Amino acid sequence: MFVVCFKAPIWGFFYGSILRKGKNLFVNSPTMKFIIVLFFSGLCLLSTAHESYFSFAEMEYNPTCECLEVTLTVSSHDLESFAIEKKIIDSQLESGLIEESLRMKMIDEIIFEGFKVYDNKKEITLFYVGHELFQDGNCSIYLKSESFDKTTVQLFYGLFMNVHTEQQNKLSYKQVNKQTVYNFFVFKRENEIEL
Amino acid sequence: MKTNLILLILCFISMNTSLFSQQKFAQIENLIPTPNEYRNAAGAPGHNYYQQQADYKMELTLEDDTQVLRGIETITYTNNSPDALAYLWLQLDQNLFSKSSDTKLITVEKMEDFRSLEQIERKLFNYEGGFKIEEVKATNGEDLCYAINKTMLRIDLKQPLKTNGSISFKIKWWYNINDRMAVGGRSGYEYFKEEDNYIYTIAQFFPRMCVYDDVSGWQNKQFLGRGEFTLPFGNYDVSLTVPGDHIVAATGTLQNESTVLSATQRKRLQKARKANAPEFIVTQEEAEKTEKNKLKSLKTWRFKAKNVRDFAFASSRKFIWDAQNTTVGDKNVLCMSFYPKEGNPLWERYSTKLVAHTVDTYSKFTVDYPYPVAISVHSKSIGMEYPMICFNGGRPESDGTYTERTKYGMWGVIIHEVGHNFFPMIINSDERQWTWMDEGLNTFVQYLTEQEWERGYPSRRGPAYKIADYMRGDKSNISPIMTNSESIRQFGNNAYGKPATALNILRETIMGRELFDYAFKTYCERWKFKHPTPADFFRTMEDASAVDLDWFWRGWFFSTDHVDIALTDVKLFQLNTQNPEVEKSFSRNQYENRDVHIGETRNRTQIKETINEKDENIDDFYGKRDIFKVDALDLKEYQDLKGELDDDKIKLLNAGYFFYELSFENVGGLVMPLIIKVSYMDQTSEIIRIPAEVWRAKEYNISKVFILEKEVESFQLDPFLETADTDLQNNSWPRKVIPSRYELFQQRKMRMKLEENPMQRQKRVDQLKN
Repeated sequence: MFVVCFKAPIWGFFYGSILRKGKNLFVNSPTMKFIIVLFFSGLCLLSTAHESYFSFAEMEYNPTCECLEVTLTVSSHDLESFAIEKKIIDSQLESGLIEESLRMKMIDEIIFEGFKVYDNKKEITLFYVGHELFQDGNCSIYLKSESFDKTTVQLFYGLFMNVHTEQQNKLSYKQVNKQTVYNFFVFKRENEIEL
Repeated sequence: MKTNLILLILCFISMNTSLFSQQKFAQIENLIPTPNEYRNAAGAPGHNYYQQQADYKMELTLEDDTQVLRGIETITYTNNSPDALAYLWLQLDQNLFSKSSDTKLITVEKMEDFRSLEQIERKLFNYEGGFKIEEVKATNGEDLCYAINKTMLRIDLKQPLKTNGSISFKIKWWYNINDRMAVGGRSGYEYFKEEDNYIYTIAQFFPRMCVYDDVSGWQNKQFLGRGEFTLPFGNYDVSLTVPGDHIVAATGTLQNESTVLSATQRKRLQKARKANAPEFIVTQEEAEKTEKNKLKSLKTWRFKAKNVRDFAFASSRKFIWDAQNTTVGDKNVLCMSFYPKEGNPLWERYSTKLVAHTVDTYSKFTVDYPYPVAISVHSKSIGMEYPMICFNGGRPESDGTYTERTKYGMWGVIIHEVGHNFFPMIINSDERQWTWMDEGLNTFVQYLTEQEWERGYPSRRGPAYKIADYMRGDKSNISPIMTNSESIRQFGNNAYGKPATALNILRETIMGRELFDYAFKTYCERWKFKHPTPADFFRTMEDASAVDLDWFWRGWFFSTDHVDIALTDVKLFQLNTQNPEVEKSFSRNQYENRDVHIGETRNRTQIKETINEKDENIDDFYGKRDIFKVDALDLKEYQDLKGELDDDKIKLLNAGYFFYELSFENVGGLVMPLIIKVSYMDQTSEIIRIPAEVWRAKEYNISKVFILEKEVESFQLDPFLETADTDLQNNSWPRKVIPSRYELFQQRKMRMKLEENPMQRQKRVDQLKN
């Protein structure tokens, strides 16, 4: 079995949009509850194993710009599938990334939703710097933050965790001659990092 | 008596200390089964090794209008075990799709899984899956007593099946074929709405015998979706009735070419059998014509396959078909591809060539490919393997362009799936129990094959540094490689990436290519057409190479430790030559070049003259003495010493060696060899390789002295990125700043352009020209 090529079918609009339209109707409807229980489905398992379930970040505090510099490395397939599911792109990730409006939609709705930095509950603004697609199937997204004083930050790294229950994300925080690794799981999507 | 008691206690303490300090190098006997008559201590099949045989004769009908597959199969099962069998177990894999499947019940779900209407629709998709067993009869027509437990079927025998006895029985069944794009699955159909056509890629489609062996008895662990298949070898004779305009690809050799192929097709096939590049048997033009006109008639294709563990097929009127020959040893292998027009232009250009290349390369590293055909079938979005045939993704865009990622994805999946012919179709490990034994070993040889396909091929898995991200950090949510298939967390990295990397490290770093290749091939030869276990692999690799790898299996396969070895300290020493001319000059030089306090430097100019400089009576013996001056006594003592030493020792004293004491810390816990690049002041360099056994005495902190002829400018650990070291920042002396990925990107940025699909861009360029 190969665990690269599985492409999720094209799904429609996002969970949040259903909730906004009819919040409690969904959960409280006895019919819906019954249907969910009845058709508890493991279709993902029936298809093929998903390829990655992992993303990796490398982060450094740059004292010159007093900002964070971040590289997020994800499987291109993961990003593509999710962008298709969210109807941001139709097919190729490559086409989506070339067109600025689509690219920024992907960055805003996927990357910035899955990776956030807080300083004492205040969100630190992140900016898209660039991206690279690699032939081995990985994609790196480069981000930097607004300037802020070096402090202890709270980092939310739940990228793809709403899509894949097995998703794990790892962040390596680089300091001079030192590297600290933080793990993020579905049940623990935040870590406190002393910069 | 008292002395003896003290000695005994000391001995006990010493033994325990030794045990505690030797955990990483402790032998793995306690982790693997004891050798026996079935599997010996060398890792080879034992003198009483046995395996069962299951032969199948099947008549199948594919109903294209209802997407139903019907079958009548006769199984002849031969018991080669020393045990009498009271019952037989068969696998009913299609029951994974039944509404009562455990797979659905045990899947963890959250509300996020129901986040769109389409997704809910998909979850509610009403598919009547699973086997419908119509009858289970003896060949004399008598009903056999059977019971179904989810994905397993037990036949209760009237009389136990004795050693060397055979039994034949017949099963009649049918099932609704799953829509692979809606329901998922390793096999099923893909529907092409625009033209109302199907491609069927069919597997796990018939009740299949379970393995009975010396390891598990009946391997009847339920099929939950992830842990794949464990199957006995046998011979197959299969008749497949399909629509008359379908082209069928299947495990085995086609028996009735003259009935199912046209004269032109037969002629082309004959030509392809001798060709060393792909020849069309069905062209795209012909396939496109066929898919427009659906025939109502039926045709029966008959295939026979010898010594295979399974049977799969693909059928469609959409198929383009090409083939070429490759020679393995003195045997010809017909390499073939079946694909719809939607697979082009990628498939006609690459698929069959990739099949041939994979058969050739795997044969070199493992065993000669033993089967007459090797087939790649286009199957959107998946990759799945069966004997002689596999289903592979890699579909270009609808405008006929494709990205490099799609191309490499297609290359990778074809090499991988064709490679599965060797693991586990020939070297037939228990997939239900150990995913890594087929996926890991296959991914490793896939890497070797990719590198022989294209220099610098961007292989996803294999090189050591590619696994570092996965291995570093908290281990609470990853599993050792030696984990049951259904319980693995992080499937891709665990069962594919990490074992492939481990084998690559063994080959490149621990054992060397020659020893590794010999041992790996020995394992493959020993276990071809047999059922190996992990212990057989571990033992053979050691037995055939004389390399004790227990520490390696323990660290890489049984633990989740990672590699992070730090170079923590470097100290320089030099031999005292005892020659006063040399040593005092050296000391003077050191004194003159010492770091000087700023006050002393400023005082040299600001204090014009000190008192003792003005008044010569101030300095006494101590003040006037030059401690770096060689005196007669120094010279006499040196001559006396030389008189006591022989020439070799004097030569050694004067050799000018540099003694570097390097300290290392095993931060990650996984012991590995020390590969050290030594760069000298004269701009030359050398590589020193220290085996991992250097960690035997102390597993976390060690030091090692290197006696070098030249002064060193820097030391660097793991300079060729071959150990999967997860932190390169602590690998150098003097400390080298490793640029972050972000910094590297900034450096590259100016040279880069955004990655438009280059073929689409070229189309736009061409349009401009027109």
